[in-house]
Amino acid sequence: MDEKDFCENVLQEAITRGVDYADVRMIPLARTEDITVKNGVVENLEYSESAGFGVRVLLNGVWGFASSFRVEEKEIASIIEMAIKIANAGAITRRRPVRLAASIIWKDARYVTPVKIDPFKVSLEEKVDLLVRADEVMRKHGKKVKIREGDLTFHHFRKIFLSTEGSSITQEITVSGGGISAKAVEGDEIQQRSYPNSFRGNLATCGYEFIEGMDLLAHAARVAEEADELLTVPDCPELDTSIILMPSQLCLQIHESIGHAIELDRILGTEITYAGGSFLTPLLHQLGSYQFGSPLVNITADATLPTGIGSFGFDDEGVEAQKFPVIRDGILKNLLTSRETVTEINELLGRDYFQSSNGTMRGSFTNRIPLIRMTNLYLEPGESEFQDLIASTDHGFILDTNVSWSIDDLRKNFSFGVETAREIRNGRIGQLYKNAHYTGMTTSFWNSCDAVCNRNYSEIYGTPNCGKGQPGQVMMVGHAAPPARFRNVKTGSRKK
Amino acid sequence: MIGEKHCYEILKSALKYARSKNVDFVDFLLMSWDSSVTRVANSQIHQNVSETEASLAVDIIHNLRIGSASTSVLTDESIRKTIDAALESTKHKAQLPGPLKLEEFTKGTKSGKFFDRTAGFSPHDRAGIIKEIIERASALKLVTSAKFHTGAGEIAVANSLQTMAYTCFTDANLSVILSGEHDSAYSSIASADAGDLNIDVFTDDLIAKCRRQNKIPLDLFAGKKAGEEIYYDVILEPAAVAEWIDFLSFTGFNGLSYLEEESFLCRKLGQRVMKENVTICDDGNNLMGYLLPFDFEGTPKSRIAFIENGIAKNIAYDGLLAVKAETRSTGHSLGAGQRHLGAVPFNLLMEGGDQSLDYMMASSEEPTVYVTRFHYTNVADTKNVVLTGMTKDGTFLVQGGEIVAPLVNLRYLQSVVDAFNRIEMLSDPVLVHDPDVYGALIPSCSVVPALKIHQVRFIGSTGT
Repeated sequence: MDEKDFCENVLQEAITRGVDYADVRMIPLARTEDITVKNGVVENLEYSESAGFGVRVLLNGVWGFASSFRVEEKEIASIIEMAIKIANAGAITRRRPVRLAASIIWKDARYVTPVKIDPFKVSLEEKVDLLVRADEVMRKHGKKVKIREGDLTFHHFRKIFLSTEGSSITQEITVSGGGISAKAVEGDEIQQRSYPNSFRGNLATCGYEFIEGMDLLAHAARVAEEADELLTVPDCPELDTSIILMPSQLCLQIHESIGHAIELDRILGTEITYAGGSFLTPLLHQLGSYQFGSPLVNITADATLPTGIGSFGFDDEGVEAQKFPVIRDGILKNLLTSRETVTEINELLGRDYFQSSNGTMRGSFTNRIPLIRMTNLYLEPGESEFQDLIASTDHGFILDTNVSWSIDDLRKNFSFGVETAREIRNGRIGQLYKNAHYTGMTTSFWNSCDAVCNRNYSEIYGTPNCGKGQPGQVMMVGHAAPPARFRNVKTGSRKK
Repeated sequence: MIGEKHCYEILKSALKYARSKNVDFVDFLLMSWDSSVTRVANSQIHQNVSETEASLAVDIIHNLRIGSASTSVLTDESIRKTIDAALESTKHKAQLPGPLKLEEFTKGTKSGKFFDRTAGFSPHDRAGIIKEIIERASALKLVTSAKFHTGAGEIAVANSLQTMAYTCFTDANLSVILSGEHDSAYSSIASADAGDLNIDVFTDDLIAKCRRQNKIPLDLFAGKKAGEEIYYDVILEPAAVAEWIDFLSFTGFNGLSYLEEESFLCRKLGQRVMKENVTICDDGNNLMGYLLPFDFEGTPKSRIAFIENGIAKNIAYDGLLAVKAETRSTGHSLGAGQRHLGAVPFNLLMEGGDQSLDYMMASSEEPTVYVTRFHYTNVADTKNVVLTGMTKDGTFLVQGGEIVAPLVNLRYLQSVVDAFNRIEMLSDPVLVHDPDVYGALIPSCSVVPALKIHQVRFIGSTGT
């Protein structure tokens, strides 16, 4: 049976059983390829395929959701029946019925990730060879490097979305990613350097050309040498000083302290049992005037960013991908919303602050409901040259590449560990330190931002492992940032 | 679920096809589950979902090269394609150090904890229980947030060395957060048998805990200079202990971490690494927990002590790591497709003591921080298992033998190894099971006590 026909049959079954609204997501085939070469040996080479469909029904203002891995005609009736049972069960605690904000109906819409080289058509031999050669370079240049690792990962899926409102959307998303890392070990000391980022590198909605563009071989020697060097340097001192965050770390800072805080479902309390809430809940009435950061802080959400890992054509409610300002000149202007939360927050605010969903609802697969997720959330470039940033810093550290992260459930108090800390003294780069971490409070931190580099220094990174929801959902979200400076930040050693 | 008979049929058919390719070794991991979650926010059910899932993973080792593939499409055609993909993956250059080392295999069906009434728990059953809790809490002007999971799963493994095994299990777990004017209280209960959940007692205890903190919380960092640290004795509820032990296990007991010299146990086997009152083991047959009779490559489970009376005893290995370590598997394989992540215990048990949680509080004359659970814990330093995270859902100051005030949430930065050298009291161990299920449903849990620990390091708070 045709994929769209299958989805139409699902909706027809739901309509026949009297639902007020239903949508179906179906993935006929999702493919993933993961390759890991560790110390010259292929440790993991896995190809996986999956399929499924999931149905949301709205009945008397209450959601029901059911899904199955069996994409078969005979499965439709039982899945719809379960979704309706669930909606009926939920009705016994209903306080506020779900109302959906209006949305454009998209008929036969299509979105495909721009891809030059299909990563699944590149031979395994070529991919493994790339990682083995990078491994060999790291082996030669890292005398105390014990663990060398290279990773490549590729995803492709086609997703069909149909709703009883009449939307019909097909999307094909391709993701490519990879990276290398070296861990030097001496006694109780372990030091790691990574390129282009830690935790398996960087990812993009892109073809194999993204891997070629990273040029892993050119960076392998430096990565190994820097891991070695870190074993010989002192721990980062405990100070209250300036820090310059390099793009990959700044991207995670944006993710944790801004991105999650502005998710409207968290703000409205629907993630309390797992991911947490947001410190913005009691500040909702200040939306449009709340001073989130310094005037240099301009944050944009953009689901249309080329190569951004959070780029798509339509979200999982059938709302088109959008680009919109979140923070302008330090003022909080917007939140990440869905069709349901827009109506709820407008009721709370007593005015129609939001006209429609800004299209951020995504489910990790067809077996999980869509949730509000970051798309590509980035810090707009400023005007500074990087060298001027250094020259104008009396004392501070340049902090690069994340190794650990933690933030409280309301997104106020954060702590990050990084691979390297380069000291700046009197406007010059000096001593390298290891085991650095920094900690602070979200709004104090963003209000201490006094310099942002220009667009020549901006880099895009993917966060492939953003967890949320129960049952859990891992989502790929994107970020971009140039280096930026923050004043009066507490630094120290995370090893202590 | 797809059922025992069908699981065996799929595995036999897959094995037959794989053998026809004359590979050196092949193993399969078949998992399926029916899982439902009802979530509550702002005292109403807001997310209510059900999934029926399955996956078949295959690892092939041929000419000392490993290839993996998996599929959720369980047709003959798709399974053959998956096996072909795994075989194709073995045609790369780099080699494993040796063949998989599996010496003891499970054959046949092994009973897990499976209860029909849990497997048959309906959305209305869950909603009915939730409604009772909401109504009781609302009468006291408390807002309810909750997660109620019920589900059933099955695990089947087979390999070309005659292993063929199956088990099934059920799970019911409920966690609830009640929020008052100033703070919140959390508790969870779990059982393989949904009929065993004593909702009345659970709700009574949770409401009582929430009522105890209905005053403005103190900030222990108020008036402190930036960067100042504070040290307090702490009482950790079992949920907090379980989180620390999970990290201790993944970073320290995992044979992969050990071989890569990242484990705190490197070169310390046989030595004292914690206080003598600490014994931590893994036991898939522990009746207090969820039964997991064999690991994901079919090795039977047994009690493996990692720390015994403070002495480092063992490391967790699977068949692949056992080759590298020149030892035997301890029954901690993650199975086909996941071997690169190492070997991980899923049924951790920390032996307890004879001091109750109430006694720990009553005997705390000096200021002591009481922690219900942690949020967003992460590893700051692997080798010393230095963790950082926040307290959450009920942090109190205990002094003079009683709770004197709720506290704003605190950030800690603490080596768990060091902390476990300063354990002063342990309660009876209890089952802790509030899983973050991202993938397959598995019978994983911890059985741990509450602890009182001398002098834990805090480096900040969320402020008032």
